[in-house]
Order: sequence, then C-alpha cells, then structure tokens
Amino acid sequence: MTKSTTDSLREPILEVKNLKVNFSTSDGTLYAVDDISYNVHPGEVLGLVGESGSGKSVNVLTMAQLLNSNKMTTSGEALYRGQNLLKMSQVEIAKLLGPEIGFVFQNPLSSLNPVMKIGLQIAEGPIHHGIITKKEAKDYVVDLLNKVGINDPDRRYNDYPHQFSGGMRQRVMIAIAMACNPKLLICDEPTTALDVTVERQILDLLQELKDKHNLAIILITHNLNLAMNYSNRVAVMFGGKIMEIGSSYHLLSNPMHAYTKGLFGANLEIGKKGKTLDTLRDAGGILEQLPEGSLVLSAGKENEYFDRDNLLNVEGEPGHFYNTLYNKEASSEL
Amino acid sequence: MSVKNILEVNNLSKTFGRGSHAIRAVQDISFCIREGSTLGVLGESGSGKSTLGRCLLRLIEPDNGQVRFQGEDITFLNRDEFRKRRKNMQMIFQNPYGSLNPKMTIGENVCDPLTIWGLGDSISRRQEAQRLLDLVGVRGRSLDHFPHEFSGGQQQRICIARALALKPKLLVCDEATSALDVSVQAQIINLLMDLQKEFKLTFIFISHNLGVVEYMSDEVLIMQNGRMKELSTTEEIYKYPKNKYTKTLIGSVPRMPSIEELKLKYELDLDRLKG
Repeated sequence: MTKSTTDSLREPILEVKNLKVNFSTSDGTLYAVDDISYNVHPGEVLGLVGESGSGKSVNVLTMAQLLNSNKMTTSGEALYRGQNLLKMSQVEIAKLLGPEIGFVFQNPLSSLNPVMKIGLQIAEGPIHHGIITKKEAKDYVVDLLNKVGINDPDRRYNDYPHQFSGGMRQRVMIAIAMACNPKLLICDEPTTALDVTVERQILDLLQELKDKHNLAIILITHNLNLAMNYSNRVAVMFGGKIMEIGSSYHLLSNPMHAYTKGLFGANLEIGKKGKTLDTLRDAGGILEQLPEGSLVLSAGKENEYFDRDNLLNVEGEPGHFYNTLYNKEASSEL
Repeated sequence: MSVKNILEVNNLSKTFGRGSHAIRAVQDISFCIREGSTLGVLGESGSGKSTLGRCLLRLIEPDNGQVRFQGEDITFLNRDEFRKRRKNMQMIFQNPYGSLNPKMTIGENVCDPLTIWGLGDSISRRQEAQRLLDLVGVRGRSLDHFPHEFSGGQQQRICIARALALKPKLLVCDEATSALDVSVQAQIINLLMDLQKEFKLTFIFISHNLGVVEYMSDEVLIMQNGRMKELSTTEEIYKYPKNKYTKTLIGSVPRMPSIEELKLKYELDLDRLKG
C-alpha cells in the first residue's frame, strides 16, 4: 500500500513536503527540522509531540514565516490549499494569517499587548482583514468572548490583559486566533503554562470549536497523554525528524519506533506507581544539540541508532509511518 | 521499634503583607514524615506549596507554628544553632541553572557546601566532588567545566550532587523535575529513588504534576489557597479521594486513553471520510 487510507479520501488543508530548516551556528549546522512530511485535514487534530529541541515549534513558525534569520536555510514545501507558504512574500502571508491560519501560543501574557483593551485586541484582526467594520466590532467581539467561555463579556471587553487570570488570557488568545474564522489553527503548547484544571477546560474548548467549524488543528505539546487524548493523529518528533506518525490508535496499540516506545515508557501518569520507569538514551549522554553522526535511542532493552542520513521511512500499517535505519544490523551490534 | 518521625510540623502558618492585602500563603498546616519516606505536596500554582517547603527550612521565616526536626523544635532556634541542624536539610529547586553559581566550575559548585563548612582540604573536597558527580551520573566530564556547558538534566544532577554533599537526612525537592523533558524527568526520578534507598533519605516532593507525585510519594498532602485539603497515603488520595477539591484535581488530569477508546475514534474517523 503506497498511499494511506486517510490521504486518498479527502483533500488535506495543509501538506508539508520534505521541509528542512537548518541553522548555521558556530558549532556547525543545526538540523532543527530535517526532511519532514505530513498533512492535516479539515476537522482533524494532528498532535505534534516531542521533547524540547525536537523541532516542533520551529516547524510551524517557519511555515508562517514567523522565524527570520540570515543564519537559517529552508527547503521543501508547505502547501496550504496548494499554495506554497514558504515562497510567499510577507504581504501575501500576512493576508493568510488570521482569515486562514490562526495561532495560539504558550504564553498568553507575552503574546497580548499589555496596554490595549482586550476587546480592541480581538477586533484588530477582523477589522484589518475587512471582515467587520469598526462599528460592528463590539457586538462581534462580545459574541466571540461568549463563545470562548468568558463570563460577562460586555464588561470584560474593556478590561486589560493583567485583569485576566492565566486561563482567561488563554481564552482571549483563542478568541483572537478565531476572530477571523481561520481554517487551520496552530496551537503551540497552548496549556503548558496552565494548571491542570484549567488545561482541561481550554482543550475541551478547542475540541468544541473544531467540531463546530470543521477546523484543522495542529496541537504541539510535550504532554503525551494530552496529545493522545485530543488528537486524531499524532506525530512523534526527535532531532528535527518525524520518527513516527499515525493515528493515535495505531501509535498507542502498536508503536513501532524505539523512541516512541521509550516516550510511552518514560511518561509518568497516574497509575504508574511501583512500575519501572523507562529512561531514554544513555544517562551520561543527553545531547541538546544533535550531532551529525549517530546517537543511540534506547527504550528499555531495545536499542536503536539515530542516524539522520541513514533513515528509511516505512509504512507499517495504513497511514502509520515510522523511520528505521537502512541497515538494521548496525543497531543490533549494540 | 517503630520508625521515627524525622519531621513534625504543627500548625504552620505564613502570611505575606498585612491588612486587606494580606496573602495567607500557608494556613495552619500540620503533618509528620517518617524517616526514609516521601511526602508529596500537590497543588496548583499559588496554592502555597513552595512557601510551605521554604518555611520548613526557614528560607522563609514562618509566622506561627512549630517545625520539629529529629524531635527538636527548630522554629525558634537562633541563627547559629539552626545552622548546625540545617546541614541535614537540603533543597533542590526547579531551575537548576538559576541555582548553580555560573562563575564557579561544577566541581566548585558541588564542593561549595564542604568549603562553607570547612570540611576536608581542597584535595579531598575535589575527590568528594568527583565521587558525588559519579554517583548522580555526570560522568566523563572534568570538574572544571562550567554549568552552562551542561544540559538541563545534567545541571539538575549537579544540583542533586551538591545537595548530597553534606550527607543530609531530609531533601526538599521544589518542582525538581518540572523544567525537564519526560525522558530526562524519568532519569532524575529514578536517580532520586535510588539515592533514597541507598542513603535512607527523606523527601518532601513539591510538584504540580500529579503523575510524578504519585510515583514518588508514600503520602500526599493536597493544598489549595494555602490550606491543607487532604493528607493521606498515596493510594487513598488517588483511588479514594475524599475531599471535593482533590477529586476535581485528580479528575482533571488527562490520562492515557485506552486502546479501545482510540480504536473507536479511529473507526469514526474512517467512517467520516467514507461518508
């Protein structure tokens, strides 16, 4: 089977093909995103999980051209409804951000303007894109605030960000992201700064908005439980590579890559007391920057080399891909 | 003979500010810990867990109440007297880089407590630093590297080595694994538990992460708005929570869904595509 079931049945809203992002540093090239391909469909949540430095955020920020540095080289394609985002000018991409693609970031306080009333901040986007007029702004925003679950929106319209709690600010962020009715919502660690009780409310809200508007959501998180709960498909990233991608069902029931197994093994959730906790990688060799050569990923008794130049992408079952080494024997020598 | 309580806390309180601005960070908290066991302190941000941890070591002076360490009331000891006991109580913080001296090499950082206490000479201290770093799994690196040359997980190991330098009895870990990735977090937790077995350490493990606290702790104290909501064995708290807040807290953690649940979702997705 060459084409996965999911792919052939409907058109993806976003197609990423062989995306590469390299940074040249004084210590050599850093492969932040290394030849990744995936797609997202309307009405679907794609979870991107991985540890810090695995390239989750760089991947989405590059697509929206929010990262700009002369030390950075990009190649590959990111097709949003057939248009390559990476080739667009700043003006063209600015037209897409808002009405087509919305962003929710981790830290709501630093993403909000502290000296601007939140009502105006929410209305800014839709007014700029000509979706509403200034006169309609208040009603439009109040309606949005209602949708994201903020009580007494009439009064809150005139409040400043510091008058909101962390969870409420994140709701405001979601309202801003949703203000222009985007088709694709990219949530970069939307609840990492929040307490568990609030986290649940925010994710349930995202889920509800997704169902109502047939949104496509990319949910970036390092929390495996969260990704498995709220995603239809999950991609596991390591060292800029997607090590494994598939439906959450396939990934949980039949993880193929040692790293994915390791992540599940190291994941601390309620009910693990007394069980042994897997650790990934050699205790002495945690690498923040990834070397060009190989390094060992281990999960429990299993060892697997990570060699970025020598990886083969295999489809284990329909729609479930994982990376493996061309030369498997190299890893069994360990 | 039954195991002794290493720490007893009675009606501990701390209020910041006064009048209408007063924040009652810790209100009337009492508990005791057996030697060699772990007490998890669980709560959301702003619940007063860190203030509680700091009050125990008198990094913040409590307003009221009593802390008894190894049977002795340490709450109102004067500075010098307290300092002698303080050797047995150490703390590990959330941000390892922020708690290591960036201008000292890791060797100096680790043997800093020994230097302060004037224990051993410079050669024996260096040997001790090397031994401690080996113990916590920072191997193969010279003592003369600086903290910034290490990753977050390695830095946290160095902090643990430093905390162990004076052979303490009690370790207060304030969100010690919260800044770390899952795999690194697992390593640090395994390390802490090994060390606990080896040296009969007593831990107070402060965290907002319910999974980590369950894994580490024998008993769990739940805090909300400075008050103790529930204190019981880990099993009781997680399986049969009694307090309403505890129930909400435990209930809101995303658990790993069952394979059956996900299968159902997957099949729905497939149907939706075809239909």
